[in-house]
Amino acid sequence: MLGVFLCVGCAVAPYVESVTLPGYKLTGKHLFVIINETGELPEALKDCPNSIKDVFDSVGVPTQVYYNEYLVLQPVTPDSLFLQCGDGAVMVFGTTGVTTYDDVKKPTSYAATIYRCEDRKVVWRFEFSKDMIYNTEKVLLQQVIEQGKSQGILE
Amino acid sequence: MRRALIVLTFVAFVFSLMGCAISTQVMSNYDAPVLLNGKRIVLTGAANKQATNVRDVVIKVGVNRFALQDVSVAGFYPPKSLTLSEHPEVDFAKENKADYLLFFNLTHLYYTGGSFSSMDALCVLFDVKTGKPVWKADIECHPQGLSSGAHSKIIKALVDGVITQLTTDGFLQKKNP
Repeated sequence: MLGVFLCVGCAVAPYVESVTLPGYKLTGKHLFVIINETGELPEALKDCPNSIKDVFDSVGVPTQVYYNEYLVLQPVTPDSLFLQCGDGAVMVFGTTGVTTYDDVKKPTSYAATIYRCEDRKVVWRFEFSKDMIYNTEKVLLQQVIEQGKSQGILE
Repeated sequence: MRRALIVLTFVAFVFSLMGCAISTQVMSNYDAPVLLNGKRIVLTGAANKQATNVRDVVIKVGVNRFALQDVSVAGFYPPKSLTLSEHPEVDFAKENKADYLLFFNLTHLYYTGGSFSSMDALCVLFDVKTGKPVWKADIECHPQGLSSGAHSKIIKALVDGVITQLTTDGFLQKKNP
C-alpha cells in the first residue's frame, strides 16, 4: 500500500502555481532578485538570471539580479537589499531540491518568494517545475507572468 | 539443471538480502544538547512538488517513532497549495505550545525504474521560542545492492537515523534494553 502511495510521486509533469496578495501592484516598481545557488545541480540555475530579467522587464518591472554562487563568502542578502529598495520589492529565488531518475540528475522544481520593501510582507509566492523535455525556465516564467496578470499583481 | 536452479535461487536470495540493507550516513552539528524527552515537538518537512507524498509519509513515520521516545509529538503537514504565510509550521508550533520544531528537508530524491528508491535529507531542530536552530544533520539513506523497492524501509531508516543521532548527541535519553 505504501509502495503504491509512493509511486504516485513518480509521475513528472510541469506545473506552475502562484499566490499573490490581493490589491498589491508590482508593475512600475523596481524588483531586486537574489538567486541562491545550491551545491547540487548548479547548472539548473544557469539560465535563470537572464530569463528572470527578460520576462519581468518585458511587463514593466525593471529588474536587477544578484546571483549568489554556492559557498560564496559574502552573499547578497535580503536584509542588505531592503535598505536600498525604496517602494520596490525583493525576490528570493532558488531550486527546492534535486531529483535523480535512473542515475541521471534532472532539473527540479523552482520556488520564489517576493517581499514588498515597505514592510517586508510576502506579496507573491510562486513555484514551477519543468517536465523532462519541452519546457525551459523562461517558458514557465512566462506562465508565472500570465498568472500574475490574472491575479492582478501585474498589469 | 537442479544445481543451476539451486545456484540461481541462492543468487536471488543474496540479492534480496542486499536489497533489504539500507546504508544510513549521518553527519550532525550542534553547540549544546537540550533534552527533548518530556518536551513537546512538532515534526514537519519540505520536498519538491512531485515528492510531497514521500514528505508526508516521513512526517507520519516520524510522529510514530518519536512518540516511542517519551516525547510529546505532533505532525504538521504543509498545505497542498501555496500560501503567503511565511512560516506556517512555526505558527502551528506556537499554537500547539511546542518547545521544538524538527524540520525534514528532503534535498535529493532518487527514483529507479519509476519507483522512489533512496534519499538525502537535511534535518534541522529549531527552538520555537528563539527561532534559532539548535541541531543540524545531513542524512543519506541508500539501499545496498541492486534491489530498490524498499520504500518504507528507507523512510524508517531516515527517521531512525535522526533518532539515533539525537540520542548520540545527547538530545534524547538512551532507552534501557
